[in-house]
Amino acid sequence: MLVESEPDALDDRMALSAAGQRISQLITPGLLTFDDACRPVPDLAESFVWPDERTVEFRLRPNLRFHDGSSLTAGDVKATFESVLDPRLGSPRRRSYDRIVQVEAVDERTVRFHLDRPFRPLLSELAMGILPRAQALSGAEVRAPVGAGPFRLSAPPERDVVQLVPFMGFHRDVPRVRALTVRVVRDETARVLALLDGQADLLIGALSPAILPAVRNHPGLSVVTAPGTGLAYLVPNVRGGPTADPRVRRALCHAIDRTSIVQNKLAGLARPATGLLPATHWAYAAAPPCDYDPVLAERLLDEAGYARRGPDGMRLHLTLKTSTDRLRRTLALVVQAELRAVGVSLEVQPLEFGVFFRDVRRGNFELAQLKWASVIEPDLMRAAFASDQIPEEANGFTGFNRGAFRDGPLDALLERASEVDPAERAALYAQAQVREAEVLPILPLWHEDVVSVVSSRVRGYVPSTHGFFRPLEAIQEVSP
Amino acid sequence: MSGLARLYRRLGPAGRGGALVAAAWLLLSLVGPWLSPVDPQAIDLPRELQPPGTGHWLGAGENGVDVLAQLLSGARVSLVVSLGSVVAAAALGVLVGAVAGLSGGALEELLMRAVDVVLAFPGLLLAIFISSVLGPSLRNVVLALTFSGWTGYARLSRAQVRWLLSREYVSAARALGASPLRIALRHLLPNAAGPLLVQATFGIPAAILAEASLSFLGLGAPPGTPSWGALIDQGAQYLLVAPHVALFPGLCLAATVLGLNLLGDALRDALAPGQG
Amino acid sequence: MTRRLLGAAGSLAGAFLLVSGFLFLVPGDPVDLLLGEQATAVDRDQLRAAMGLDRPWYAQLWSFARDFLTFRLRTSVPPFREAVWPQIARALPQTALLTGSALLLALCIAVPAGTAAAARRGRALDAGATAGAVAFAALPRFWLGPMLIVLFALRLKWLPVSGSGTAAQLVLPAMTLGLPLAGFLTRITRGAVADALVEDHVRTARAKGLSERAVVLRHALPGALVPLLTVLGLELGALLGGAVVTEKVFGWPGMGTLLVTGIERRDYNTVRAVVLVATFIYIAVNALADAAVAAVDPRARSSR
Repeated sequence: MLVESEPDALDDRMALSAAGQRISQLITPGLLTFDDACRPVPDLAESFVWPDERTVEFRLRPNLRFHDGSSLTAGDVKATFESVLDPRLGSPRRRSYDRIVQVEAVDERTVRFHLDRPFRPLLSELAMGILPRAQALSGAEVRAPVGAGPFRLSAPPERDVVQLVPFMGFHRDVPRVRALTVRVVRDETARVLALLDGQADLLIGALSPAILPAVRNHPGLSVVTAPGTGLAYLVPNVRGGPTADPRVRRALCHAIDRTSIVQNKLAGLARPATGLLPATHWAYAAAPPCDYDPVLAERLLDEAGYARRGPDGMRLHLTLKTSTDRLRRTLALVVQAELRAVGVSLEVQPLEFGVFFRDVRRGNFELAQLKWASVIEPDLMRAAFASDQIPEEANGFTGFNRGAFRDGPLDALLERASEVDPAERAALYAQAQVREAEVLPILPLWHEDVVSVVSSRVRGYVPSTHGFFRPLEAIQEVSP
Repeated sequence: MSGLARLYRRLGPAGRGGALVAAAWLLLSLVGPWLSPVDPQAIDLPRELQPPGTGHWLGAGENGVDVLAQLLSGARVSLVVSLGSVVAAAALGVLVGAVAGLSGGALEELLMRAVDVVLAFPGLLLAIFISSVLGPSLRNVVLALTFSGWTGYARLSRAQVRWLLSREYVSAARALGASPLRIALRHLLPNAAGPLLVQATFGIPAAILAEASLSFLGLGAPPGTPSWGALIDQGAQYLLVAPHVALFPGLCLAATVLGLNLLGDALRDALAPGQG
Repeated sequence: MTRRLLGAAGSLAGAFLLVSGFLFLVPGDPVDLLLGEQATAVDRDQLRAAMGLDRPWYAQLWSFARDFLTFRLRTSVPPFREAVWPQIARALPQTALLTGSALLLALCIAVPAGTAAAARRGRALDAGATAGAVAFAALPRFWLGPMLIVLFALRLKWLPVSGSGTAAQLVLPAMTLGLPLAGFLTRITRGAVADALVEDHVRTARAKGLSERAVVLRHALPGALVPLLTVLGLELGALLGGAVVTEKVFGWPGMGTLLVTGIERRDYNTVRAVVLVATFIYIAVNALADAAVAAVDPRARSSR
């Protein structure tokens, strides 16, 4: 299988990149995972309940084993989570767990999480991969994690290659392949050619729609798509500058023709987005979208004080940082062209992944083009827009509110929505989505489909709408 | 003008071909962008990466940009950058060389050592290094190419100055109180003009190629700026489905560089000592 | 000989100073250059501390020189712990392989073609070979590469597109790097052989009744090797520059890729180190070529 960029870490406690998280899910699954409707379903646990609103209890499956043969018990779960809570590890997940007061191993197969106040969304965060106690307590990032997943590492991971083999002691069916090698190929043409030549068998995501025609006609390959829960968006830096003005943000939002981009650039393999959640999500509520309306955009820019145009015809200069990924770059250029039409000159700055993520976390940008690989938990809204989630030195730059957005009413809504039970949550999130459409903490673009290419040697692949690699657990290797 | 005509006649067929190419390039760079039917940066999403045909005579590139329009604008970019850097390099080099030749002694040694240091860098590497520190922009490309390209002019001008100084009539003029500037203008420039011109005629295609290489590496023109090198870089991503995007700018680049090199060759032969 | 060595050493030292100290020559805060102006205070402080940018310039130069020369240099990207020299040690042989193959290819084409063209001076073969040589010499490598890929890897499917490791994967990159050089060297060879053919000792050989072929191969060609050798040393520079571009086209994991990735990651130390290593090699090769030429041809010794 090919991926486009190297996994930043295989330790699920530390991985931030999509490649890192998805590969680590194959090696170290967690207590639960998510179905295509974004509902939590048990994974290593066999069941979970909320005995009261401040406690969630998991019952582990019997006879779970780690790759090294040892048993997976509540003690390992406790150790894994406690290691994340320890600030010395520097895990980016620590912020998500700050409601946890105590992790209790009630008995060999039961774990209880005690919270300081009601916090339903925690369930989604508890899907983190479970490590054996020894590895969890090592105090540093684990380079070669041992887990209870369907695949285990057959060799120490290198920068560009991760070699996996099926784990014979897996608690469900063992994958029916001989080995799974995950290789990093940064160049898209090389990825596609590897598929065409038969040197690679799988590609999940990591393919621009423009190159699809080259793949579709090949007899030994098939293209499988599924609607995705990921969101491509632009995040404006609200700390200062023109993007701090909501009218400017709204103008930018109306200046982008999402439908045209989806049809023409993405070959129809996406859905224009109105907010963070896709329409298939249980908490989705319709909110007024940013229709393509350049006239309105220009009027808003006039109102915001940018009526005067310079000698180059431009009224406003902004910079957009993006990664060096080819598709993101060309999309940024499309946005550049569309903004030019309303008098905004956009300088596109493609940056290497490491540099890009650092700049984004540090607030070193005016506009940044980003993508949530999958939006599962509606509480992501709080993690992304609440005022206490701004990455700062004090919190080690964790926190997903990279634009430093602050809105009192939204804060209150999202805080409350995290505390109440599911029935009420949907109503609150509906209100939140309307508010978000008004104040525009981010400029939502579209939800991209998950596009996978599989060779004829692979049978049984059913894509996950989240772009996860977990479906690989069920594939079977056949001779062509 | 008759001098130019005479010069043209002295060029061989290859040289004349090169002169024609150079003229075409000059013309297209200056006038082309006005002739082009569309804005080179205008996107046309429905026709992204389409092969040459109606609407896009040389085909469309990424996001539907018109390849022909980009080629014409790219010609202008190559003109500005190459002429800019060659003129700046020549000015800098001639100045350094003249100062070295005139002062002699330790200063001359020092300046010539500086020349050696710059020449010690393999090919494009110094320009890449400078661009990487300064950041991607056309202005920085001109700066980088100037600082890696001035050495030839310096050596030329120093040799000319030394030769001049050895002439009797010059030392006589100096003894009579003529200022170095006057000497330079009356004697240095006319003599050096020939070799300088030849040097520049080779320097321009080298600069065009260097700018294109830097843009290809992502160190030259900022994203979205039409440049032949950037266009080839873009085209290299779509070889599977749209090879025309890389083909045409490359042909332009090769033809221009070839033509200018041939012109330089012929000029050097035509202006060889004894005829200049 | 010693003068030559001193000259080379002087250039080396000068180049070292220029590359290590370039950041000081550029106006503005070096941290701004490396991080961009909107960087946060924390990042700036971190970079300053890690690279010692708050110390005086000579202290910085000294610590860079020391780390570089004792092979202890570390990258200037957080967390500032990755060692640079092992990466160079891995990348250098790759570039050497690529450059060596390209050189070999270029010589195998240029020497026969140039000699034949000189021997048949003024005839169709000469015109054809020269035209071909001139055309190939003008081709930009970052264009030639993709075109060769389209032809040989995509349309004809004879060769793989990119990557390194197998001999088949070496062919297209070597051709991309070597063909323009072949064109250039063909012209040089032709000129040198043509010059040699009118020399006295060649005329004597011809007068003695030796076949034209023997005259060309055994008397003219060896004399042409000297200028060829000199040019080769100088052309190595262009070849190294061309290698950066070629490696990018083919994803070849050599020094060029290391350089470009270092630039993308704002890894100033790696960038400096790669440029310096390449420069040192270039200077050394040229000094060697100079010495070889002087040893072979006494006439060249006094020229400078």
